[in-house]
Amino acid sequence: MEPAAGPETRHLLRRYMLGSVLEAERAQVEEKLFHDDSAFALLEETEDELIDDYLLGRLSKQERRQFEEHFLDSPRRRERLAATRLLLRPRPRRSFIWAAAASILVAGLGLLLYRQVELGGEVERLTAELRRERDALALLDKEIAGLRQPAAATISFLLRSGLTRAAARPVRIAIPAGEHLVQLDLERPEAAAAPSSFRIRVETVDGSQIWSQEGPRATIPSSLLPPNDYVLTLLGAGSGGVLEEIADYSFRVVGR
Amino acid sequence: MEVTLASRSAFEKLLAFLNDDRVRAGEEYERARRKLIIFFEGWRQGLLAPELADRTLDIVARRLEEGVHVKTESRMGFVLGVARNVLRDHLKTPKHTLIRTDVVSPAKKGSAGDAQRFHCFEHCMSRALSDLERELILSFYQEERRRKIENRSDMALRLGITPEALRSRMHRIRVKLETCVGGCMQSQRPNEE
Repeated sequence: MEPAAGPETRHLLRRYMLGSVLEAERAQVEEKLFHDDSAFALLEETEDELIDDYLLGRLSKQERRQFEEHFLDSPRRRERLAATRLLLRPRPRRSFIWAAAASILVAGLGLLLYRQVELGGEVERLTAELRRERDALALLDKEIAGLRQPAAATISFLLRSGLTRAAARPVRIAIPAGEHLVQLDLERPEAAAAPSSFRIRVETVDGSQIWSQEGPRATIPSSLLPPNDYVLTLLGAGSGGVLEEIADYSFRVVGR
Repeated sequence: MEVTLASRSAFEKLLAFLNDDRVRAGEEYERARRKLIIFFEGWRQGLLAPELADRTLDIVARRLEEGVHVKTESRMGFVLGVARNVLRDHLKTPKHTLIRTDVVSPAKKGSAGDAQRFHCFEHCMSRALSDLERELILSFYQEERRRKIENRSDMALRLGITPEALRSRMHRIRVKLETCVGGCMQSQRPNEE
């Protein structure tokens, strides 16, 4: 046998593997196989090449038949063939894998950033909405609390007409503690012609107006009537629409 | 086939016979076994080749224990001689004549073991090989597949090694991978009694 890596040796080893050697050649290869480790290494590599060539369609028709009938008559070689088939199956190229991974990473980061910005805006919007909801709720609570409170009691008093500011002793009005409505009914002096509309004005004795309303009677929140002397003036409008003073009513709110 | 294991002392003698250095002796033992398997495969005894190889080594060990003296330079010739005798005895048995051990279609796909093999293959690619080995063997075979022509010289040139060195390196990586795949598949196979 010629030097281990020579083409003739390679060809002989291929034929040996394919079972197409003469008896003398077989004996020659067997001797070399056992005595020369480099020849044995070459034989093992030849086995690799035959498997590769078979899977890649590089064998001649005859070699292919010998390969299938002789070479593969071994579970070990069939396992090797199966493993090599897995090595040869299409795989994404490493560069493609890295490119794909990088793309996914960039896209992921972009999405993350976008989501973060979007979420930031969303959080801001939701916070404002929450704040509005809380305010509305507080308002509702207040309204509900107000509704739950017992209605303010109305305390009525009758003021007599004809009492002048200077001469008459003012009517004493005692308003209990708490919020109340003070209703002041008026005894009107008789007049030749009844006015078509009325207006009431309430002032302190020093002339500060504290209340004014349409109608023949006054309903005033008690909070506006701290202890003091007051003058209520009843005004009436005739057919001409001009307001004229009809009567004055003095009253004193005393301490609670 | 009944294979009687040689005693421990006989096995020790076999190792010493293969190489004085214990570590190298283990490597020589594995190499001798691979040589024997290929030898028996050459005689179309692929199915029983591992068993016949073990039987050969067992007989060599017994003969050494019996006191047979073999010159150092003739030791592998001695192993080959025993292998030929084992083959001859084996072939004398009617059921072990020169017939194909089994017939398979090499292109057959989708067998029960395919999924298992694929799993083991991927497992071993990531676990048994180093990053460099994995990169080398993958790029080698992906290039081979794309070009479908002789690629080894070009690749060897790129790697700055000879085509022979590349072939040898690829073989070592393949053996490493296939050994792992074989062990993986064996470990996942149900006990065969």
